[in-house]
Amino acid sequence: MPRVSAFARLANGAVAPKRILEGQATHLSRTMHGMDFDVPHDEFFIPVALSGAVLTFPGGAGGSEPPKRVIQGSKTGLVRPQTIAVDPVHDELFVGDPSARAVYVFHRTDNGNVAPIRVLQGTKSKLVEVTSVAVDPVHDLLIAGQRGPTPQTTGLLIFKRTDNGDVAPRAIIAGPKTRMYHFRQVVVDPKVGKIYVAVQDIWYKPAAPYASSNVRSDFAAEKNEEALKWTTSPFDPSTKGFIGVWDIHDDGDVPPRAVIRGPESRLLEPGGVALDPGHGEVIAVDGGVNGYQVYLVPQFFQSEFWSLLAHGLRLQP
Amino acid sequence: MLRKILFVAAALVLSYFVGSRFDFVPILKTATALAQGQRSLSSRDSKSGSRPAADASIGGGDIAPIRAVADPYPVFDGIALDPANNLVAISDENHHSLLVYDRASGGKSDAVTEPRRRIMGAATEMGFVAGVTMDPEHHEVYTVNNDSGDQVTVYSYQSDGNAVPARRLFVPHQSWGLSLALGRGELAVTTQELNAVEIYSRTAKDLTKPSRQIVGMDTGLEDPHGVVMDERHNEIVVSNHGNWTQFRPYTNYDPLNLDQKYVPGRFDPASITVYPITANGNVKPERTIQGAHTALNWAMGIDVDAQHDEIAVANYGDDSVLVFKRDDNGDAAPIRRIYGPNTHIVGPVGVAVDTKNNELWVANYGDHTALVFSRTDSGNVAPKRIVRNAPAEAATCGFTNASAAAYDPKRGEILVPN
Repeated sequence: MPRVSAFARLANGAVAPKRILEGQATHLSRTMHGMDFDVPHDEFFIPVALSGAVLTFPGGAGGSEPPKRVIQGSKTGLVRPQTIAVDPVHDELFVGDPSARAVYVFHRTDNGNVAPIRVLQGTKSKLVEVTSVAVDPVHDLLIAGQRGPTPQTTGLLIFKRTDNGDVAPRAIIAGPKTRMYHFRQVVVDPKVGKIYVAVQDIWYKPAAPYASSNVRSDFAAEKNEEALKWTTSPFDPSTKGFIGVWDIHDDGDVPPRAVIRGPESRLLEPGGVALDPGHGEVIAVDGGVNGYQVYLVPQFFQSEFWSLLAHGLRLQP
Repeated sequence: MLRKILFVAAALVLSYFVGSRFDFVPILKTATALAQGQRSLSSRDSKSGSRPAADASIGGGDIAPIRAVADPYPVFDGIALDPANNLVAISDENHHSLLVYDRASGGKSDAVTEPRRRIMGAATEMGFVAGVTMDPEHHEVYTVNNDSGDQVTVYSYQSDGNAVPARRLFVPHQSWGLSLALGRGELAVTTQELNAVEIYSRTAKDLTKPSRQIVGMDTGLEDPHGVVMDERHNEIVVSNHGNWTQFRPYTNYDPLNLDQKYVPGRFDPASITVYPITANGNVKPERTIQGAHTALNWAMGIDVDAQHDEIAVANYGDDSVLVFKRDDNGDAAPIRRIYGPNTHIVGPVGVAVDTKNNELWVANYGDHTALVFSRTDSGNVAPKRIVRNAPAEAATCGFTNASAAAYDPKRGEILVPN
């Protein structure tokens, strides 16, 4: 059901949301695969895949409250945006649109039928199925997560924040060692330069039976099983998904610097991740459990932890 | 150096604390166990290697959560009735199951209503299920995965537990509504992202092309949900949320189609559109119920009472059920509206009319109930019976395959979109 639910930070167990945003006036639709909260301006942003739009709500929005701003129309170029990130420092919105194979950049306060100020798109960019975007205003970088046609292009494409047009990424974190085959939300902790990825599965996502409204000619369930095999995974098969952490300067086929995964973590297929650096917590939204889990990992938000880890000192149980 | 030593010591103490102390989320354990039971690893997973040695240099690990939010009970979605066999089937999108109740189930009790059968488990191939339909002649029940496995699954009336479907039919991603036309031997399926209705043979299975599709700019289909094939009046009736944008393939398996003329997306009011039962292609609706007087607000499941010439709508957006005249057209007001606190309607998704027993059923997503009203009830009326899938006081978390989150430090809130 399309809705935005607001839970108290300390909610635990089978708890109802404090507030729900839903209904016709909100303009929400399904496939909200990204959202971002702009703390300085007390607003949050949601893409609407099924209406080609971007919505801005007040931070405390609830009920059937309409958005305060809507980006939609012929000038926007938006087709089916699924993910979004806000840069409150430079007052910009980054919108990932897999149907356009593009990342659109708008002014943070844009409203109505407005053209993007920049568009990343084209063969050099390698952008295909953009599943996530994140922006790091400190290191001046844009991270686009995507599923590409090969393992080498399924991962994180890292661009300069101000890149425009058909520009090659400056780094690509992808490959078998990343185990990043089927993933969604990506967020950045700019303070320590770390990228968090919600990895739903260690296996490459197979083709769906339909392409548009046509039966995919080469589809067969058995063939999909075959397709999965070429994504050799060295990962422990006892769990499917995990939260992976990479460095903002990583490049190539590199394993995560840190993970949250395994039976105790209870992660099955996490598709969402959010950070609460103030309390040292990582929040993982998990479609497999149909809920979310919160992890206390204050060390992840400390530069010293990452420095020691890089020198082979492991501090985890 | 001293700072590093102190930090290492503090981190080791903290690591021990995190790794050994936080194990007090029993509800999550239940939910996880349920999910793991249904989503057990497939055979392909067992073929991979063991944990690599390289993991030793990776931070973090198998860390238990300190808090977790999940719902241990079913959450109702679609509903279908078979009055001839005294059965009601309701889909559960929270734990990917199908619950089958006696038609006379429910009452005034606060306790859980026991289903006759619950089809649930990895073998069922159910994902985030939505619409349901029943076949009283062939004793089969159908449901469709709106997400996590693009298929309709069909079970016999005798299926129970971790049952293998009698057959599966692959359908486009984001399919939602189902309706059988037994006289025609057809099955209708709505698909949100394609703004389409596909028609298949009733017995179609595996990868079978639809025999026809209602799809295109003229159809008025906009994020379609509920569907009914009304054989008495030879019509197909569809409920629409009103979202529209053109479809361009978006997966990594599809080429970018730059030849397609760009048409921007739009928000239209919710609607009910009606087509000839033989419609095929880019067909204009014969009638459209749409406008301010309709009160339509995220119209979800629908049912047609062909005997009394009425259309019932689960009106999710304002917690109501609307009833229109079947031949209404344009900005028509509903002839009845079940709405208000006495009704206990909360986030209705499924609705079904039982003309044999003169009842109207509503499946709530917003709490753990299905409600039974008299067919002609209107206004702020209490239900005759309540079917509960959880104790009366149980909270409803309301997750549906959520895939994103954000943290609001000002309010101390975790925001989760579905």
